[in-house]
Amino acid sequence: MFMKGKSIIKTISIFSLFVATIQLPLAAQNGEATFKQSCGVCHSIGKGKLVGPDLKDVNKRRSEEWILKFVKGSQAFIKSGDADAKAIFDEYGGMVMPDQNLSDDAIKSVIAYVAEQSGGAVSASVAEATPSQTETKDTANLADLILKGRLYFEGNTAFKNGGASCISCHNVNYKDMIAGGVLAKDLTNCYARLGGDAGISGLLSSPPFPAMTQAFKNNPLTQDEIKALSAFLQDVDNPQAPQTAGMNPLLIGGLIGFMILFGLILLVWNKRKIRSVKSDYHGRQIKTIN
Amino acid sequence: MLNQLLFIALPYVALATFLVGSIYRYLYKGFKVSSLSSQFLEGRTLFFGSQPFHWGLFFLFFGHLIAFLFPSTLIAWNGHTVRLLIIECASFAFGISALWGLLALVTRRLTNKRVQMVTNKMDVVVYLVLFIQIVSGLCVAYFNRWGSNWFAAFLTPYLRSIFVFDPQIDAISTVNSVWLKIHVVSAFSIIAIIPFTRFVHFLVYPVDYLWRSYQQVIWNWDRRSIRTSRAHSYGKKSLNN
Repeated sequence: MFMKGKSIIKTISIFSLFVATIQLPLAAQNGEATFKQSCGVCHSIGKGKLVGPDLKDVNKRRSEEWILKFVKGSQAFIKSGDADAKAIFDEYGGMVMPDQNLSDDAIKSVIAYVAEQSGGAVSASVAEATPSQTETKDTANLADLILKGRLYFEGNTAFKNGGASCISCHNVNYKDMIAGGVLAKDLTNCYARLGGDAGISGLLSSPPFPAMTQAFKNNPLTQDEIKALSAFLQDVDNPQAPQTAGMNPLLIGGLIGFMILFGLILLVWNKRKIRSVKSDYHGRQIKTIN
Repeated sequence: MLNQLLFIALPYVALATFLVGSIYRYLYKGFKVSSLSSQFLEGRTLFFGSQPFHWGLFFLFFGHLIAFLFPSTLIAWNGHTVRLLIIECASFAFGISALWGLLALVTRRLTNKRVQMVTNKMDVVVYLVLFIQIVSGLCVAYFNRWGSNWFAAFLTPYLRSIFVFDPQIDAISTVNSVWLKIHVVSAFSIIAIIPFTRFVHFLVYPVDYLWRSYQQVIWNWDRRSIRTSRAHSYGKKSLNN
């Protein structure tokens, strides 16, 4: 085209260099910090199952290579036919562990940290302990709390710090609620799956899934909001709940909208010039010739 | 590595190519900053393709821009279920409109000999990327629904991180939606090829057409009647149109 091939290549190479320099300073991460940030919400070390398995002595149970593969892409690893990975996936009710965007070194440092913690007395700094579900809630308050949670979930009550509502990405089958998002996991039975209040509040106070982390990084949920959501999700987690997701209104709504738009276009440009000014003359002359 | 390539390198290369290329084209090939209209060659079916296509894209473009510039406003608007449904259905309608228009325009170009004479290779590329872009967008909206909300929640931070030269690709590279990744990659590809294709015409949108007065086209057959005509007042609409 107009730009010579050489100059295009030059532009591109200058910019790839530029991009490369931005990428270089990947800070070395230490195991403890990474564990707390990325793993601690779903895994404990020696304190029992949370969302995922207890990682105590995981370094003795699995090879380093196995752990690296699982952490970086659990689904791909399961599909590649690893029986152990599949067994764990099934044991935890098909809960997908999100792929962690960590370097090999970072994961190795976490393994080293887990090994160190598994050894002796478990340090108090390890993430939250096993769920304690003994808290009693009185019924009148509970109904209020569930309703509050529902409003938060739907977005009808905005989160105090401005986070997006749950329904953007998640669906629950609940009474007359509209179909929720399908970008992330269906939450209808998440209450039991995640181990009740403790699991949910752990997950919501520091979400381990990258997209969710990003969404709530600068606008975290408050403790009250988490409590309400947890109560709502407990109410949702009901075996009698309808198991079919609500209908997706987009196709019908979109087609109706398109027809309205098309009608509007025809209406506005109704008086457009369809034939050329001289088409009559032209037609007559063609007729004479033939 | 692939993620770094697609979500960091590609955006910067695309934006740089777009900036440098567009300025170059405007300065050195100014008369080619256009879409080379073929309306004179074929106008009737053009209308049924071009209109739905451009209105669809126009609203979708500004929809995405608003989500990028004012994410919290968008989340607040979507707070009410009815408003969420309105914005989603309306956006989907514009998407269908753009797809309909594109298909009509492709059909026109394939079947009309006059239009084929002015078709170049880059037009084929344009149709291809547009098709990928629109179909992936519709699929994202349909299969990963309530996109207007999660766009504001985690895609806006990613796009902003590009512009402040601190790319954060964790969210976009691990998100569980192939359609979304295709949509993002093809969007940056479109930005990259703007200067080399008919896409440039969106940079020189003739805004003043909206308020400029009618132009009179006069055939100089009868000099005398032209001299004595009273129809030459400023801004009078011609009668044969």
